[in-house]
Amino acid sequence: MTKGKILIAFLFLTFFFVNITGFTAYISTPAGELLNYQLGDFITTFRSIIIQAFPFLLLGIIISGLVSIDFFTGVLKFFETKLRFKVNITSVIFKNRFLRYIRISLLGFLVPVCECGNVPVARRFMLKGMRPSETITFLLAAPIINPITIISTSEAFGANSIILISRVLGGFIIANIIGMLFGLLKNEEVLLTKNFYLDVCNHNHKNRKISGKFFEFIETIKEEFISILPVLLIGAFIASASQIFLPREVILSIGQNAVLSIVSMLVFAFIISICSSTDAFVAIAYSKTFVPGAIVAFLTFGPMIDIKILTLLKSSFKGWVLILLTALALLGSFLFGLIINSFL
Amino acid sequence: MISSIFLTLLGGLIFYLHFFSSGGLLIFIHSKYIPLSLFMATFAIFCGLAGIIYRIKTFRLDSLKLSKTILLIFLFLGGNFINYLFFLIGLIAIFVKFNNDDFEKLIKKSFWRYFLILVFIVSTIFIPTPGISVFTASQRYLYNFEVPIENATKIGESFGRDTINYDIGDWVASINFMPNLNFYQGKEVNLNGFIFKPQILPEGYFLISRFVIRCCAADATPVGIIVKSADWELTYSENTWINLTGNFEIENFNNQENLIVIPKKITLIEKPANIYIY
Repeated sequence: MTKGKILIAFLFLTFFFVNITGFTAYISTPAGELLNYQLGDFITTFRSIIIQAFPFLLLGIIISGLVSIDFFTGVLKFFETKLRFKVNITSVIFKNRFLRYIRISLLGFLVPVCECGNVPVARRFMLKGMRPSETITFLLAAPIINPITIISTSEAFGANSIILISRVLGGFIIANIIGMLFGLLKNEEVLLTKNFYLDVCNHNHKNRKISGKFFEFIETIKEEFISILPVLLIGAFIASASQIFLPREVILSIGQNAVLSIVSMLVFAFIISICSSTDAFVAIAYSKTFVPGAIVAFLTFGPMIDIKILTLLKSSFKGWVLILLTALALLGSFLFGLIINSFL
Repeated sequence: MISSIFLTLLGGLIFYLHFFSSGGLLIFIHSKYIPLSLFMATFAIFCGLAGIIYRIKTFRLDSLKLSKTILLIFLFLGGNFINYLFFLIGLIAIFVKFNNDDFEKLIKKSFWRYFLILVFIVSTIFIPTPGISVFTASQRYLYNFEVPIENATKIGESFGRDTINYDIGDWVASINFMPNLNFYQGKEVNLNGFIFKPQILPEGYFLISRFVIRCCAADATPVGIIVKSADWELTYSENTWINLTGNFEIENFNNQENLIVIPKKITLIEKPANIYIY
C-alpha cells in the first residue's frame, strides 16, 4: 500500500518532467502561442494567489494558536462582563442565543482576519466549544465586518457611500440568518466531517506530551498550517484555472440588466477568489458598467464564499453543508442586491 | 518533525523568490504586502527551526558529525539556493534523531498533503514565473479609465507644466480627475508599456498599456493609451515592450471621442523588473 503510493507519486513526477520538454517545444511555435500565454498567466495567477494568501493564512493560524493556549479567553471574558452578554454555552433560550449570534458576527473587530485567515481561527473556536452554526456566522461575517475591510471599502467608494453601508449591513444580516438557520438543527455535530468531529470530541481528553505553552503554540501552528496549506493549493489551482480558461467576456457581457448583472457579478466573485481586504478596488472598475446592486452583491458574496474558501472549509464541514451554505449565501446576496437595485 | 521541515522550506521559498528569482515577489503581489510576507516567512522559518530544535535529542558534537558539518559549510559557501537547501537538509539529517515511526506515520496518514506541498515548492523553484501577458489583458480590458491609481501624486501639482515625465498611470489618473479631453490635445507624451490590441479597437490602432494591481496578479487590470499607427503589426508584435514619444490628439471612432497618441518615435525596450503600476 505504502509502496504503491510512492510509485504513483514517482510516476506522476517523471511523466510531468518528461512531458515538459516536448511541451516547451510545442508552445514556442506560432500555433502554441495562445496556450503559452494562457499557461504563463495561469502559473502567475496560481502562485500569486498562494503567495498573497500565505502571510494572512499564517496570521490566522497564529491567532488560532493564541486561542489554543487560552490567550483570548481573558479578552473574551472582559468583553462578556463589560458588555453584559454573559451567556452559558449550553443555554438554549432563544433570546440569549439570538444575542450570541449577533455578538459572534461582530467578532471580526476583535480578530481582524480576512477570509483565508478566519478558517483556522474558526476551527479553533469549534475545538474550544463554539457551536458549528455559530461558527458559520463568524465565518461569513468576520471577513466583511472587520476594520481592514471597512477602511479599504471606504477608501475605494467613499466613506458615506451607499455601497459601504449596504455591504456591511448585507454581510451582517445574511451571516446571522444563515447561522440561525443552521442553528435550528437539534444535533449540530452532523455538520462536521468525521475526522474533525473526532478532533472536537477528543480535544479536551488529549494527553499531550509537549510541555510548556510555547512549544504547544508552535506545535499547533505547524499542525494547522500543514493541514490547511494543501487545501489552499487545490483551491488556488481551481480558481486560477477557471479564471484563465473560462472566457470572462461571457460572464461580464450582461451589465445593465437588473437581475442578470447580479448573477454575473456573483459568478465572477465566486471564481476570482481574491482577498476581502482588497476586493473593493476590483469592484470599482466595474462600478460604471454594472448597476449598484450587482456591485453590492459582489462585495457581500465574494468574502463569504468562493472557490478558495470552499476548499478550505471542506477540511471541517461536510460536503452537503457546503452546498447548502453556498446556495443560501448566493440566494441571500442575490435578494439583497435586488433590494438595493429597487431602491436606487 | 516533518511538518517543521516543510514549514522551514516554505518560509525559505518566499525568501528565495524575493531575492534570487527574476522579478522577485513584485511579480506576484503588490509591493505593500512584501514586508508582511517577508516577516511571516521569517516567522515560519523560526517556528520550523524551533520545532526541529525541540526534537533534537543531543547537542553533543562528535568528530564524525564535525567533519560532516564542515563539508556542509563548504556547500553553503558554494552559494546558490539549491546548495542552501541541501545544507539545511544535511544539517537536519546530522543533528536530528528521527523517531522510527515518524516516516511510517507520514506515509500512512498525510502522504498526499506533503506530496502536494513538495510539488509546489520544487516546481516554483524550477519553473520560472513569466508574469501576466496580453491574454489576460484581452480578458480584462474595460475600455474606460475607471481604474483607481494609488501612486498618481503628481495630479493637480503640475498640470500643464512638465507632463513629459507622466507615465501611463499618471495619465489615466489625470483623465479620471479631468475627463475633458480637449485639455490634453497636443500635449507631449513619453511612455513605457507593452503593446496590446483589444478587439474593441479598429484596425490601425493599438494600446500602449500597463497592468494596475491592488492586491495580487489575480486582480491585475490593464490600462492603456490608444496609439494610432497604420501597419504596426508589420514591425511590432503584441506583448513586446516599447518606449513611445508623441502627441495627444482626439479622434472619433466607436461612437465616442477618443484620446489617441500620434507616435513620433517608437523604440523597443527590455521588459522592466516591475511590470505593474499601482
